[in-house]
Amino acid sequence: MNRLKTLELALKKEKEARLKVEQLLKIKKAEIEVVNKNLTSVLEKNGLDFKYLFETIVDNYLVTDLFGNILKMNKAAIEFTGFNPKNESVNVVDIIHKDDFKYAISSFRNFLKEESSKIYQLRIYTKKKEIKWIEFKPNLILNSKGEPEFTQGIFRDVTQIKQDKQISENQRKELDAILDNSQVGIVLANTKGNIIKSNKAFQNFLDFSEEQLLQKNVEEISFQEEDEKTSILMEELYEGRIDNFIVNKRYKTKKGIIIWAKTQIKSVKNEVGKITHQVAVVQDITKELEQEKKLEFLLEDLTEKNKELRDFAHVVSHDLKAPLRNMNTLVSWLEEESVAFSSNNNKNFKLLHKNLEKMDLLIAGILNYTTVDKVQNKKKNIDLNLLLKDIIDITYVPKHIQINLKSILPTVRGDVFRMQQLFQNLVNNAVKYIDKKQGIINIDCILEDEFWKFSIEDNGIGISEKYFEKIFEVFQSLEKVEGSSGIGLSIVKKIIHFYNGKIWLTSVVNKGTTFYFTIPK
Amino acid sequence: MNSLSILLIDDDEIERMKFRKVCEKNQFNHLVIEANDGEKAISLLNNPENSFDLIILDLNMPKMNGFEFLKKLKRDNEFQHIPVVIMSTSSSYSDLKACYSIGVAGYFSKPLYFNEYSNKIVSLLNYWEKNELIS
Repeated sequence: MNRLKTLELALKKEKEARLKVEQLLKIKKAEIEVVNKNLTSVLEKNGLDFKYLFETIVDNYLVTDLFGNILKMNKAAIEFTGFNPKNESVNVVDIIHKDDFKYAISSFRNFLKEESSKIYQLRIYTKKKEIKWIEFKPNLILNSKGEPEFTQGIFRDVTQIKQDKQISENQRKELDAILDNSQVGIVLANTKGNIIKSNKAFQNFLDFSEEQLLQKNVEEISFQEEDEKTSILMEELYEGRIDNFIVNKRYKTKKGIIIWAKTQIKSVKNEVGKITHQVAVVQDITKELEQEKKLEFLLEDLTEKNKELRDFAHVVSHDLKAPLRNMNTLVSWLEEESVAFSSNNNKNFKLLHKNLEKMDLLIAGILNYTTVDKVQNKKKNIDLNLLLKDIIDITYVPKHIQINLKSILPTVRGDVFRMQQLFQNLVNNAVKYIDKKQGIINIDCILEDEFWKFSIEDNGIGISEKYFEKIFEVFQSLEKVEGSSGIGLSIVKKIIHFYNGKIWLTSVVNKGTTFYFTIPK
Repeated sequence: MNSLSILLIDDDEIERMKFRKVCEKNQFNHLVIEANDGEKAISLLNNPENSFDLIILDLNMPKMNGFEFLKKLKRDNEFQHIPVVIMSTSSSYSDLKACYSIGVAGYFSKPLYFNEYSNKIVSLLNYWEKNELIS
């Protein structure tokens, strides 16, 4: 029972409240109607054809009273906001974005005070609760007494523009972050050379703060490179023939230290192609230059050392020759004058002579080896067929050894003496190490891409594979063969390397050896 | 036998011994005056008691070497006509060319064997002996 009563009471109260609201709405509507009439009359007095205005304005247009109640909206405004003041009472307060509310109130106050027309940007809610950025330009409508009574205004949807701006703002921030984290220095200056912006790397590079750099002109922190090339490039840049160039430039740090930097200078143009700024991308190359200098120095040093070594070998071998010759002479005199010596002594004399000869051979070998890469004589076309014929003529070839030329040899460019040395050493080697009753040496040449590939094949004693590398080292003679200095193959290798070729071999012990080498065409 | 007055310039004692030995063995009665470097040779040339028909010159020597001596000799009006034969350890083409461009009458590289040396010297001296006879 009690509950029922309570419910009835509540219902009654609710009815009363609704009645009150309805009454209030009626009053309000009546007021608005009055206001509307006033508005129309005011507009008419001001000579404005209200309807005409409404029909012709494509932009959003609205009229409010001074309390912010929206009295009128044109079709565009209704479509844009979703509200229609004909059907519902809407106050601007209801549609302004909560974050822009304060701004809107203060702007409106200022607007009333100054009575001047400004453009305001703020966010509104549409009826669908979408948030839109609008640009609003209000002005006052005065009544017959000259007092402000209404505001009217055109507003534009600038949501897209705002969003675009935000995106580009974000992009700018990202770019700034990239610039600041970049390892290369970047500096922006106007056409007068005054610095407008610089990144951290550039600031660190010169030891200045960002603020200090903003006070500087490019000329204060770098040197005008006086060379002709730079000034021509600079001129071309200013005349727009090129839009960037790279130059090595000197900079001066806060402490006055001079730093070399590779600098790319780039012009920035406006829409009509006029240069407004220049950007410099700066990379410290002081260390690289130092490194380069060091390398140069090392190379020079190496060349010097090489020369010294060659001279040393030359002098030593020359100086060794004289005492050697003298020893030989003295030994031969001793031999002559001691006829009565025992047969054992004679044997020893022979050994002495042999060793002296061996030493002479070695010295000649060193001389030959150290002069292979000495400045060569002029390169000539060498017909290898003729060269090889000469070599075979002057080489002692025992009757049981046959030398066959398997193909016609090419004509190559090089130094005659070196080529002679090369082939002579290989042919001599082949002859020297043949142990068969019937010795055969085959010389052949084929063209392989960019190279001539030569082969010299013998049926001699052969070389075990473990010595394939070793035989090319200086003084490596595997067998004690008379007349061998152990330098021949190292000279061969040096000559082939000198001509950018390669040498290698295949061999079977007791069967024979084939040496291959290449010489560029 | 015609006898020559020879200036032998070599810093190597044994080389000079070899030359004397060749003369001795072949019973030459040439007058051989020895100098162990260029400076000594110049002073011997300037001694009015000496008048040389032939100079045998080593290249590699201390103090004044063979090239320096040769240049000095060839600039001297009084001595430039004296023929010079080089007897050197070096068999390099550049040394040979350098010597001929200054002016020498012959260039021999020193052989390893005394026999070879002996033969060379004998033929050399025989040649200049005859040459001297003609002039």
